[in-house]
Amino acid sequence: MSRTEADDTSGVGEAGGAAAPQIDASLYLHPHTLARLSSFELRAKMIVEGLSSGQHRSPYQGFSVEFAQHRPYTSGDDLRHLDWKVFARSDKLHLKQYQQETNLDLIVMVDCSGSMAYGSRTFADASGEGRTKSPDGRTHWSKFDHATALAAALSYITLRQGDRVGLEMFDEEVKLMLRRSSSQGTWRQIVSALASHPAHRTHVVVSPGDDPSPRSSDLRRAIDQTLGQITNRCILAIVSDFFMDLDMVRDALARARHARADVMAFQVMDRAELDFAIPDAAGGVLFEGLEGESLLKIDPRAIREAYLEAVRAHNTRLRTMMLGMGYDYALVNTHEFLGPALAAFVSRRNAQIKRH
Amino acid sequence: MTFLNPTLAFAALACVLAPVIIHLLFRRRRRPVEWGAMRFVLEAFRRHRRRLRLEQILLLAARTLAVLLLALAVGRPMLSGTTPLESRRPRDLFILIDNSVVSQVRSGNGTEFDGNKKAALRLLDELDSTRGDRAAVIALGAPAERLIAPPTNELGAARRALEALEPTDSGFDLRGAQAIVREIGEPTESRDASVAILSRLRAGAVNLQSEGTGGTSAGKGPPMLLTPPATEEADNCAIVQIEPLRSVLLRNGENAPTQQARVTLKRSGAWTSKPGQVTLRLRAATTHDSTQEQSWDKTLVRFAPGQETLSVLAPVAVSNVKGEAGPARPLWIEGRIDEDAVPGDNVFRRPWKTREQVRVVLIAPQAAPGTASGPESYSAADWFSLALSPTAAGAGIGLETESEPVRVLRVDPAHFSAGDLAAADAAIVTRPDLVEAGAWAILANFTQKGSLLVVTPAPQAGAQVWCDAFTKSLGLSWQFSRESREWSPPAGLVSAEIDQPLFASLGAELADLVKPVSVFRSLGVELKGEGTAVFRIGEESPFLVTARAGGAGSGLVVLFLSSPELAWTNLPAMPLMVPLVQEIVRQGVGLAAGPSTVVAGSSLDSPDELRRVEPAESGAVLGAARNASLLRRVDARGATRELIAVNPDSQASDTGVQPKERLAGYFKQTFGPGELAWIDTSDKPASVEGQGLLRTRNTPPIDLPLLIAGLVLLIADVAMSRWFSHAVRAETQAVAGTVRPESLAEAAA
Repeated sequence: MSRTEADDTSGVGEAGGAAAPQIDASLYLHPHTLARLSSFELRAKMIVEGLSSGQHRSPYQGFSVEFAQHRPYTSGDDLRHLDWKVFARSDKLHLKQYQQETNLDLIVMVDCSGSMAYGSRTFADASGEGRTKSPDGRTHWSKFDHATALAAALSYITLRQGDRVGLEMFDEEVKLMLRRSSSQGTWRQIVSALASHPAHRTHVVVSPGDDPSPRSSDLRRAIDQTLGQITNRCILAIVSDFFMDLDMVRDALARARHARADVMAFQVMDRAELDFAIPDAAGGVLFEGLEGESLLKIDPRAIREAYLEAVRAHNTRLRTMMLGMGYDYALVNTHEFLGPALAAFVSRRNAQIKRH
Repeated sequence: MTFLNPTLAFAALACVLAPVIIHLLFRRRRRPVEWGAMRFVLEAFRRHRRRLRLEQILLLAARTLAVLLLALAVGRPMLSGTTPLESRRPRDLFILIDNSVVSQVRSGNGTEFDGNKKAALRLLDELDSTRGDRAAVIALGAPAERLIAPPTNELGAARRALEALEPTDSGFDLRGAQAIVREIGEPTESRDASVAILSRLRAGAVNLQSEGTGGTSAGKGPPMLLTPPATEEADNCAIVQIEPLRSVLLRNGENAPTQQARVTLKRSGAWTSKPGQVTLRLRAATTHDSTQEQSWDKTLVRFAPGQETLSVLAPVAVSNVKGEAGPARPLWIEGRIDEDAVPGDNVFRRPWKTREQVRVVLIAPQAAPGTASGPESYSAADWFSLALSPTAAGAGIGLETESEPVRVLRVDPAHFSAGDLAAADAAIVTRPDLVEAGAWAILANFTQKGSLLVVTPAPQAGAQVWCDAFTKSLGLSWQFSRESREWSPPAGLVSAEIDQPLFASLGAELADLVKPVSVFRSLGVELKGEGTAVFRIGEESPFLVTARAGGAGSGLVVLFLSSPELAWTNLPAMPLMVPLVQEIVRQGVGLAAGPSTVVAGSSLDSPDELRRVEPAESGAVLGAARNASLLRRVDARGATRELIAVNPDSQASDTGVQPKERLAGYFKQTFGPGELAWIDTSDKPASVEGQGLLRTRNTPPIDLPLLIAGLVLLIADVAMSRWFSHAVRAETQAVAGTVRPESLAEAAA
């Protein structure tokens, strides 16, 4: 059975809880995305099943597995789950769905550092129809918005199958934490907490003699703080742009591995950051970092190749690191809808679980 | 370094700051673009920082240099001591056009002078006064004439001066033109100067054989444009001189109806190697005579192969002259030859002096009455009187008649004045020892006015102390021996100068007449290159010397070195005496007065007004006469004093052709080593071979090489900026996605 800790909010930062504003689900979950999520509900559930498969190699052979309900067959479903008896009686294809009890929780860790505030996509294009501005008045769809949508989708799937979901927001440290819960209001609390605490650019106040070093996320510290709050095994879904030192990421992942926690890494990047297709501007472009970096005027075309190479190397190394540790990794483009990407990710994960 | 357009240059140079100003303005107005993945931008920048800085420096340098070159192209810099980067400076063109006598050579339908004029007009067409080009026009007919000088940008005036220019009969005065160019063509750094010599450069203009290599010029000469020299031979003949054997016609004398004149002809051209003949026509004329055919005496002159110069004696009928020639109707000889290549030198005129009688002043003491006992006691003066008036009654001693061709007046050497010589044509001094030192100045003045002075030694033995005063007054450098020399045995006379014009009419008879003459005593003299010894005693000592007074053009001094007395020589008793003295006086008077002919182009220094008689009567003639003509000198009362004939420069009418290369060397040495180009004189549009020195009209208003360099640099700058910015590779594959973010476009704009 799942435990419900809907009101059990605690954390370093401000709690969402009852004080959180009521957020319409369609604000962050585009109707298209919601539709896709509905269609691969079973698979989403199987994600969680997969999460528990470390101890239960097959959910169908264990005693704890019990039948829950039937679902109409849809194209692509595994034929092994067809209920042939029902087919013989009714001449209709139905799948058997099982209800199982699990003690694995999902903790969604969302990066809210300054770099996550960047976005080149319009809000109207990314969000639900009729929405042109974010609750805080922005007209662009930031990476944090996309991370919010992703967290909402993951929470939605997890809560739909009765598991517990918790939320953490971090930059240099954990800023906000929602306790794990599987209650009905949890999803809304999570979305409200994310919408209420958007990422902002970091202004570095430089005092005389101070080094204006950038203020990026500290995943190691956030992981430490998270692992310090939980005692059971859980899945950490880290949603971030990972614009941080990868050695630090390696340390953080090592600690999670030591705590026997599973990790799913979703790297959220804007399309402009991926292709660096900056329009020509006479005399160059004056770049201003969002995490306190110094201003830099440069012709973007002059460094484009070097930039792309740096991004490519960073992402490749991150992906290699994740996969090398047995964790899942997905690069999410903010200009693409979440549905297909998430579906592909879940399918891939399911396939991996099956192989085990 | 200076600029042709300094205002434009400095304005354009200020534009060099434009790239820096544009950079500063863009820097201030630029809005920052927020960027999330700044760590990768910084990493890319750090990786290529050095290369980017180098690229920026190169781009800035290229842009600044491009603007600088464009500025210089507009400003047109001129480097000191060198030619401009392109021939863009204003040009001074000195047009030296040949209108000398040899330019009259016929060529096609016109003359070579017409071709020179056409080439000059074409050169003017190449100039552009709006760019500051100027032209000077100098005519080369001697003396060189400034038609348009100093240079002017009124090219229309230069054109009109060229169109009005006529050929002359004078020589080719390159030196004079060169002096004018040097005087008016002060070199400046801001202007180019070129000298165009428009002449076919025949031997009459520049004779490389006689002129050698030309003068030497210090420093680099101006660029020169030359018309190519003539290559076609032209057969020409010129009358060089007409010299009547009887220089003065005495009306009281018995003049033959036909006189003789020695005519010198000179031919040039290809026909000099072959035999040739020329019809010479002579006539004696006064101002009222017609030029009808019957009044001419024709002589056929034949040249032998290779013979260029020829002198012939040709008859000239004096009887054809209508009426009496005299002071009011002066006489002249005119000679003409057939039409040939140069028409200007086919006519020659020479005034022919006429006298009622020759008046001679015999400066000698009067013979004492009753002392004339016989020829042995005759003094030199007596012998002169006898020789001058051999037919006079009473043996002519002290006889004065007006019907004789020679009238003799005797004055006392110790007491004569200038008034005694006023009306005389000749003076004979037989007792120079009695002439006072101051009186020699009177005699010198008399001589230098165009009269004849005959001097004999003092008959008395002893020192001839008058010699110093004589030589000093007349400006002669002769050196006398002072003491007379006695010839024992007596020495015979030798005729040294048979062709002497003084005795031209005696001709071959002179040799026979000289033979019996013996000299017993004579005075020694060293001529020191001055004067001519007509007769010599033996082979050593002069007997009769003639000289121009003080080296001047007029006045004749005849010096006997042996007194015509029987104690000195037997000449007075010999048949030579009378013709000798007669010729000395008659010819000497004419020779002393000078030929009254000048070469065209010579200066006419006359105290009186000169009026033209031929070819058409005109008013006063001033300065130099460049064309053949006959002038009369008119005194203040309007009376004609004499005729002066201006004849073509026969030395300058040589039509020989000369090699191009040697001419180029000659001009380079004359004007200094510089660029030299030959003008194309064909009927095509004006063009210049070689350097293209006159492309001012087609030259763009800015410096083309600098402009091209600036534009090339700009193109290179664009290419560099594209290459450095990697714009070509901007469409390469990104990490993910290829669509540009519109929001960034807005931000960048």
